[in-house]
Amino acid sequence: MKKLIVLSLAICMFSSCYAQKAIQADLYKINGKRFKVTDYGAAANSDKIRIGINNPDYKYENVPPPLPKVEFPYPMQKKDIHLDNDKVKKIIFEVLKSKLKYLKINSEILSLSFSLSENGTVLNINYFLNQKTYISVKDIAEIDERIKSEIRVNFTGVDYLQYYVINYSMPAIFFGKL
Amino acid sequence: MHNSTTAFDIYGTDGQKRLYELWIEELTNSGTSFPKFNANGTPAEVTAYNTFITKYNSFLSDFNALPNNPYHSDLLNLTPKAIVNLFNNIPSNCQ
Repeated sequence: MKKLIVLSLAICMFSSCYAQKAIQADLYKINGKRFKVTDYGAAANSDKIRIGINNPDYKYENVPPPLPKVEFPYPMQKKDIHLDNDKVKKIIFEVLKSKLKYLKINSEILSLSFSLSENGTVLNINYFLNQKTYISVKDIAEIDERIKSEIRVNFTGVDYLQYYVINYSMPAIFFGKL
Repeated sequence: MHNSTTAFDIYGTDGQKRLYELWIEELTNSGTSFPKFNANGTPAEVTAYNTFITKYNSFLSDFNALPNNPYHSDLLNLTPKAIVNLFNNIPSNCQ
């Protein structure tokens, strides 16, 4: 009986490590950095609630970035933004290494959109994911820190020189298709 | 599908950009397919079409209100037939 209780406790403790949880809309502080979780509700074609996680202290959160250097700028084309998606995914998979199996079973989707400086540094990242997820805000904080320190972006052409901030949406990561 | 958020990237705040990105995500199943609309279809299809038109015009209004936006237009309450036709007549899979 004692062994059964110990085994049950062990199973409970193990499963709670990777339990799927609903991330609540709130402000979280992790390693001195703030992350804001916003509940966007479910899309019309889905029953899954999507949330956004962003850095509320990003300097262009509430004010637009500086105006482009020309009055009618050409839109940036993705072919001129060389952000290594595979390197970003490698960082994400490393951080979520122990949870990948569960993310796959749950068919989770993670989307990232970047704000980049003209010299190729990552200024800000917005994340979109399901509210019920195996990913935690702490995971996002770690991903955020690693991407900002390890990823540098190159641009080709001259269109990027029109802007102080260049935006890039990476193709979403479908964990169910890994 | 490039999942571009150009409409709010340049002249909007990051918060405005996120709302637009989320809408594009919803419309395209996270960038994997184009939506299909039928204004004369089943009640569910009509609702989906009307929701699209309402949101389209809401974002258009927000876009036109962005300060210093040289691309703004005074035309409001448009029915974006061209983009609906485009959605309905190209292969659904956009990857």
